Amino acid sequence: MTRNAAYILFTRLSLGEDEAAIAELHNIYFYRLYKLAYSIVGDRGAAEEITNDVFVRIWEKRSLLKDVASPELYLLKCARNRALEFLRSQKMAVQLSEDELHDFPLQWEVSPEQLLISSEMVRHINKVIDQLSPKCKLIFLLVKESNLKYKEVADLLHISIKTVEAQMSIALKKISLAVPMTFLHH
Amino acid sequence: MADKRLWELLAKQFDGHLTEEELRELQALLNQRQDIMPGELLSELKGLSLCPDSEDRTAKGNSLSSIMQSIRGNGVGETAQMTVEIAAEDTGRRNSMYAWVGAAAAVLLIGIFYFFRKESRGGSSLAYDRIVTKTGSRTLINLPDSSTVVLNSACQFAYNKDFGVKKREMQLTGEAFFDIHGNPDMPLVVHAGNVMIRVLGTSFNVRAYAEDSFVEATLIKGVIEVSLKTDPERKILLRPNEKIVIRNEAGKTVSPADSGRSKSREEVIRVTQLAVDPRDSTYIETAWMKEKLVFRKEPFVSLAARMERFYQVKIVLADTSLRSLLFTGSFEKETVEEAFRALQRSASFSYSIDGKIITVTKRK
Repeated sequence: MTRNAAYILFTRLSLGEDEAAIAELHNIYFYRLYKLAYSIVGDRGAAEEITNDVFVRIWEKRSLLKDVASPELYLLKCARNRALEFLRSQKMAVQLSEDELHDFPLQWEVSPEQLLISSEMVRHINKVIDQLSPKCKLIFLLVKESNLKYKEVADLLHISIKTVEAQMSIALKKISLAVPMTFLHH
Repeated sequence: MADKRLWELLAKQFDGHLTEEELRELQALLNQRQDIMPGELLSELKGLSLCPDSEDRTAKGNSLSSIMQSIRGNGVGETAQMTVEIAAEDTGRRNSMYAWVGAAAAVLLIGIFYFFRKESRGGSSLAYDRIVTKTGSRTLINLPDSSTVVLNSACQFAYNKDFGVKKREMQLTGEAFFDIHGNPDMPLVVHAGNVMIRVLGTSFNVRAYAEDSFVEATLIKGVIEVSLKTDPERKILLRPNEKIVIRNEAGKTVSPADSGRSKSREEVIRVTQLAVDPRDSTYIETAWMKEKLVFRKEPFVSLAARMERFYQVKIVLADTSLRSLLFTGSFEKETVEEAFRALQRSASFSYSIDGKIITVTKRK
């Protein structure tokens, strides 16, 4: 559903000077881009600047947005590219190295729609997720939050799809095993 | 080893790219162990959303205002530069870009045909260029004043022959998305059903199919002025994220008993606030441009009418009790058979397909 929202916002932006659309886009995607940028550059201030820059560029190029096939992936790629550019400008490692991804906190929200998962259980899951490796965390985040396909994650992070699968299986296993089945009430 | 494979397969399943062979393998592995129910838990995981930490929250707040500042800052800068550069720039992509300044809005009309039909049979039709689109097509029309209109399927659309010279008038039965070139001296009027929409320069979507018994306008940005042909003095200004629903009093779904009783104005015209949920497809109204059929709590009777246009079929609801069944969902690549099977999962009915005619009956 979010993908559709991004598509509509891109269409709106391409049609005119729609400040409400860029604000909405920001509202939906700020954290996603920010977290990706942060895990690449490892600095909150820089990550914020990079993320802002993505939105300003999107605004500047808005007339071309109509042709973007996958707005969400496009935004993430913009953030990745800006983050790499930043590293380059800092004369730091230019390769996106999966082992050098920076750690960031990752927490789940308790929403009322949940049927089987209680807030107690969410707390449990949060603990486990936060102990995942930065790489694993970021992959899990991209899959879960942005609904990216493994292939898209692999493409975005310049890693193999096998790696994505392996990391996801680690994340899913750890989460599942950490949650005592008694929490699942029917 | 089997354990590793199990989680590998579960990870693949999470991504939705398990082959049938792998699925069988996974089921076999799951059957071997009774202790965990990962499938269930993992599907629940999909429903959870992530929350940012508090430091990020501050970052986000600052971020938007700084983006807006730099966006608006640039705007001013560019305008200043433009006075200098304008001579140097030939056709000026920039110029055409600026033509859109202040010209962005989106409106949606779901509506009736009654008045328009009557009018289009009238004498004025000679002065109009007419376009009729087939079912299942999207048509882009470039107008003389560089406005554009995208027509959805099965539309009748007309605009005055000297469009942009003296006046800008359009008539629509069907659905269309308009990008209207801003021109304060020459407002544009769209006639759709018994409703007139006056715009100065804006983008909007109008839906006014003959089958629908009401007109609905949803404004996403900008301002438009809506009035009824029967009551032209009464003008309703629509603001962004507002939706206006005008019942068609002459329409076929209103029974004679109903129209005899005088209804309060409020019942005929209703303005509501659009709930903007960015995580959801709020603008289901413009999804058609992406060749999608999106519906939310939509009665079967109106969904069927939309599916008829979408799939180029005829749908007969054989029992009146079916008309009020509500459905939520979206179709994109599904065939009509798949669509009906999907609908059947959320409500109880039977159907039979005979060529292009689909008959829906109550389940016995």
